[in-house]
Amino acid sequence: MTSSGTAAQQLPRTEARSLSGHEGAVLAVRFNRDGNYCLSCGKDRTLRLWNPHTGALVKTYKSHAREVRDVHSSSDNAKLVSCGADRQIFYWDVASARVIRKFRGHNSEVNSVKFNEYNAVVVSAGYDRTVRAFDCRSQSSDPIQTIDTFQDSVMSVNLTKTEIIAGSVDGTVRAFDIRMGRETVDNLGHPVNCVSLSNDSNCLLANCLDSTVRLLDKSSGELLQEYKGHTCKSFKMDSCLTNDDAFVVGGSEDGYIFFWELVDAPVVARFRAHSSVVTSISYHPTKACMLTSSVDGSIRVWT
Amino acid sequence: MGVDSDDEDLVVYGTPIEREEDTSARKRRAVAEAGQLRALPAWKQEVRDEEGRRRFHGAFTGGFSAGFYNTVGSKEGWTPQTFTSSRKNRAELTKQSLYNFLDEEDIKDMGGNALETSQQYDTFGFTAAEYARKQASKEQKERPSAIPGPIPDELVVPTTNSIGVTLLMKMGWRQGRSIRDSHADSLYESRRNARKAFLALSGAKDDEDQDQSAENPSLDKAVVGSVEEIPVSGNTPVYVLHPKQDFHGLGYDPFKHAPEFRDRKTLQKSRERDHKRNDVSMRGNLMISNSGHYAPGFGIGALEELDVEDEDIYASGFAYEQTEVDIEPSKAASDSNYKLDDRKRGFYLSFKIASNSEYKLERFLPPEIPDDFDAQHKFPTPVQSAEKFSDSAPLEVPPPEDTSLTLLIDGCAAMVARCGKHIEDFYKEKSKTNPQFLFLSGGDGCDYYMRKLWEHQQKHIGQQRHDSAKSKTSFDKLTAENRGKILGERPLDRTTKLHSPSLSAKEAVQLQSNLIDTFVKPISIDGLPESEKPFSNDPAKQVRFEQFLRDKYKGGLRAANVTPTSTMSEADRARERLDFETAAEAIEKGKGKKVIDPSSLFSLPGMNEQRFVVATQPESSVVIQDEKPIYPQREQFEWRPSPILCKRFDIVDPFMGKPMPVRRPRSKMENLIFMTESNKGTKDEVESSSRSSQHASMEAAIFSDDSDDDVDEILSNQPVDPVKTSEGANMALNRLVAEDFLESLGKELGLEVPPERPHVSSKPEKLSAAGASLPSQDERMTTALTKVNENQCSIGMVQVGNINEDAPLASAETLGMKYEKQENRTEKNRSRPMHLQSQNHSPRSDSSSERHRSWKRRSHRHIRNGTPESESSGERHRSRRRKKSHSRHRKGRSRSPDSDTPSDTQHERKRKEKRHRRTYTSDTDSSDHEHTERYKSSSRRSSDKDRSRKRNIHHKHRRKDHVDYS
Repeated sequence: MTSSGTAAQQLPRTEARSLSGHEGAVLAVRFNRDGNYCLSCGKDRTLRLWNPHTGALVKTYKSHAREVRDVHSSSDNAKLVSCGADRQIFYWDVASARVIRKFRGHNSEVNSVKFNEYNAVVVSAGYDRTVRAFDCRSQSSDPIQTIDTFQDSVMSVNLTKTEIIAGSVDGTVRAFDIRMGRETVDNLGHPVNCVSLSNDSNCLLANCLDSTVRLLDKSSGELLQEYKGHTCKSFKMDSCLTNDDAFVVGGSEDGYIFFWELVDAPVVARFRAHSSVVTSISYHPTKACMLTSSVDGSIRVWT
Repeated sequence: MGVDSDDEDLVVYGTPIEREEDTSARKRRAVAEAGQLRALPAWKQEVRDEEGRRRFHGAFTGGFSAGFYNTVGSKEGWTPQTFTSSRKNRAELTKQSLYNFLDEEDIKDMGGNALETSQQYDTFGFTAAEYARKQASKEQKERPSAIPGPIPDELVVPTTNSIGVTLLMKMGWRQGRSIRDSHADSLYESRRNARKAFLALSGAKDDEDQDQSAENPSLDKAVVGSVEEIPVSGNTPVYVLHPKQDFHGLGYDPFKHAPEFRDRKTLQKSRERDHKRNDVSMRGNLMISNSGHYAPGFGIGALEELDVEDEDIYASGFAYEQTEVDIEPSKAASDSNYKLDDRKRGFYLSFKIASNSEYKLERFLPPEIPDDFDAQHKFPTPVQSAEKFSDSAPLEVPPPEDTSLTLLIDGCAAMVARCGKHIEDFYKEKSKTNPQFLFLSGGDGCDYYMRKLWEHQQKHIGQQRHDSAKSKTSFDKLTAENRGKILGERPLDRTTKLHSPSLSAKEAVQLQSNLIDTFVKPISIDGLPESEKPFSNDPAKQVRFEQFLRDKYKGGLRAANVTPTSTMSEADRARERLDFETAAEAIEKGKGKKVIDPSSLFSLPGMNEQRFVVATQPESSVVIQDEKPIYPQREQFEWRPSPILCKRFDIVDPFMGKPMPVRRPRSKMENLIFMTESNKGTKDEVESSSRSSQHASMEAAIFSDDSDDDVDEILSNQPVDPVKTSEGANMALNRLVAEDFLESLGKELGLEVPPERPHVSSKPEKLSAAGASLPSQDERMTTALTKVNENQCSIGMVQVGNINEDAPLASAETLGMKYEKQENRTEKNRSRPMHLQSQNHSPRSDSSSERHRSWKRRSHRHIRNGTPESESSGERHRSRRRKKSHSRHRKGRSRSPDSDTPSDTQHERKRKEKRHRRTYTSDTDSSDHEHTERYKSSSRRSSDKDRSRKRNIHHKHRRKDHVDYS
């Protein structure tokens, strides 16, 4: 407990700076792979590339016609992929800020998008109850695979090397194992808002709309722990694990950030980060640094 | 690109998002070509500008940027001379004159012959005037005058008349007259003269002007002449008759369809002019009032001339206006003021909104949202908790006289209470015509049914007996006692007294079980406190209950004959088992609830429902080994990633080279959806079974292996007429599965499901119905028999794994894809609740849920087994042979008295179930057993339509058989 106590001391709780520039709500903020830069997107239909350690706005990407809901950068930092309410997925060139391709196929808003390991496939999840995979290497803008077993809007998608894991409002987290050719359905009984993976990829963290974050064992589907105390009832909000998998971080609709100890699930830290709903949290891949974004239009860097 | 072809099929509205690639396509092409060009030899390269246009031309084809923006060589530009060798044919020297380089004006200036109108046809005299001017200037050049510079135009007047004037003059026109028809009548003439006289009178100056203008030569005269009778007060000639004074667009006539307004307008204008003029003189007023009198209503526009016919002789029209004009103040008023005033007085015909307009804008109301619509996603609760449990108990009703009916109602009520309302609906629908089931829809025994249902529900929900449940309405204040009651606790004193003797024995049991599953999650009986002994008033029963719980939760080996309690009848045992089930569930729920904050539980009056919902919360501590926790639930399905996806993920395609499998339904319930009418089967089953219900020994069927003469669940074949279509076969399959389910229901209720008589002649037909086109019938069958006889055993063994799959393959290959799709959907939508339910209720592990599960397992295995097999060639051939083998089996079976074969298969099935429960019985006969299983299921694949038709006949047989049994 002492070790976790000291670890809890090192949790990012002090605000280093605030990245301002977005007009209106910021819907997602994401570190890039090495944590040197971050991407944000929001209701002002732009993507922004920041250096969160200096607070500099590097670039702004404009092309979306409506709000941008999610963004992800490729592991080589050369490409971006973003999605939003305009039903399209934009595939960007980072340096030139130009759209390389637009992937079409979703019939409704796209909630989440991710690159795969090799940056060759973009997988997106949409309000149209589908998860679609697009091929970045071909010229076609049509999906190469459509998964339509969901019964309600798919809120979040995550990829491992061999799996597509998506959480839906129908209360299920579905893992599609490409290697095995199997679909594993974990029914949590409550709408799932956000699915994130532990760093060892053995556990799933599902943020449910009953104000509970649930930790599942990925291989067995067993419920390992539940984290409560925050409010999450009607917004798409992120939750994630810290980079050492020791704590669970989650936002709350009242602007608070919660840290839970992973194993026993007590709230080890809790502070008010924003004046409004915390929409997104991104934890630095190596350092004790965290980004939060909120409906109030601010992005804050915590160290 | 693929997008474009897509877009052609779509109806697009709105502005499409422009693709960057397309906009600068030419530029890109230029860039791309630039790269290619560099590879070309120098003489083939082409220089282009940044827009991709060719910029340089050869020396002989125009040179740099030939012509005006590359017009050289084009149609508009000049054609460069082509080079011809002067060696053989010398290029002829074209004689170039100065005129080649001059345009018309230059030539004219040089005094050459320019093309111009001859003087004879100089209609308007322009040429003449020009000529005269030229002459004058020439003259002036020749003899310079005192005034330098060109002569002013006014002084130079052409000397000839234009051809038009000449013609007119020849026709009798004289200078100074208007060009008019000569038939103008006397009235007109006289009026004109009078006006002229008046004009002359009004001022000599005017007259002079007139004369002057009359003297003016041709052009002016020609124009003025036609307008002459319009009074001109000024001395400038009027060129524009109706100058534009409004702010409308050119050519726009606001009064196009309403000339009367135009009249008003002109009137108003003239009035305005009047006022201005009033100050000056009265003459204008007179004039205008004169011309203002004309009959209303005839389409006279402001631009039309007033003619004689238009003038109102009687001058009745708008005389009052005149008076008004007089009254009005003479000061100049602005236009807007006028309008305002006019409107005030109602001069204008004004518009007002019609009281009822014919034109109606078609509007559509938004779709009506039902009151009970909840925008939140709904999750299936274990039992349909939407079902309302009435607060007040139905009246106690004496059971109907017919004991079998009582039994039926009892069982049905228990079933419905356990499984939910949909079962009742299902029964209701299936047995509409059956008099036995009239109690469902308000017939005989309805009241009793309602009462029974309520009781069962209470039992099901609550942790107490139904009589104490009556007091549940007074839960306003929660005392410890009340809570104890709700949770099924008994008052302390009584429990200690009653249960002290059995405590030690129980502890021993607990210890044992603890030892068995150290390292696994605690099982339910561990936490069973003394207070939760629902059958404490009947010690024997309590013991049995505990035994039951042990069996239920522990797993492991089970004594072969657990409770053949000699004193109890089979029906009693079945009922007791049901009781145990409910009690066990209640205990479990009660335990789950203790962990939950009780205040959230009892705050609502509709507590029963609340309890159901809350109980679905995952309680990892109460997770029972045998049973899945309610949430999270894990299910696994087959999923096919597309090959390209696998490639992109750098993974070997798990389905490489395998054809798309025809997916089979994963549960029975989804088939019920397709079922149309298997009602008769149900009805008869239940009917007959209710008669012979004392045979039913459910417990024996479930717990013991050696009870052979109990529920005969084998559905054997039925006589059928040949079914022609493959759809029919498909349907039949669905119905069969449904019937299987029904049968299991019946079994669960402790009722016997009658076996169906095999019928020899039917089989080949059925098989032919299943897809192939075996012509027919007995002789075919016999040949099949003899042929396949020797090797069919092995074939049967090999192929059994595949039977369920092949049926639709063989029968409805064409339907396959469609069917699959549909199935998937329906499964998603409908069967999930059923799964859920079955899992939640699986304390009774041998009940329908277990069967569901085992069925599911089977189907999964089918998929596994079936896929590789279906790869192999000769599919059709094999399936046909299989059919034959089946027919043979069936034949054999039908010959044998059904006392042995069915019981045998029953035996097998039981064993199988045990295996599924992970009890490790010997597996020696597994293949054989599977074979029979498959065989059963396949043999059931017949068309039910015919079955139901012939059911009556068989019914008799069955009766007889039952009698034999007993």
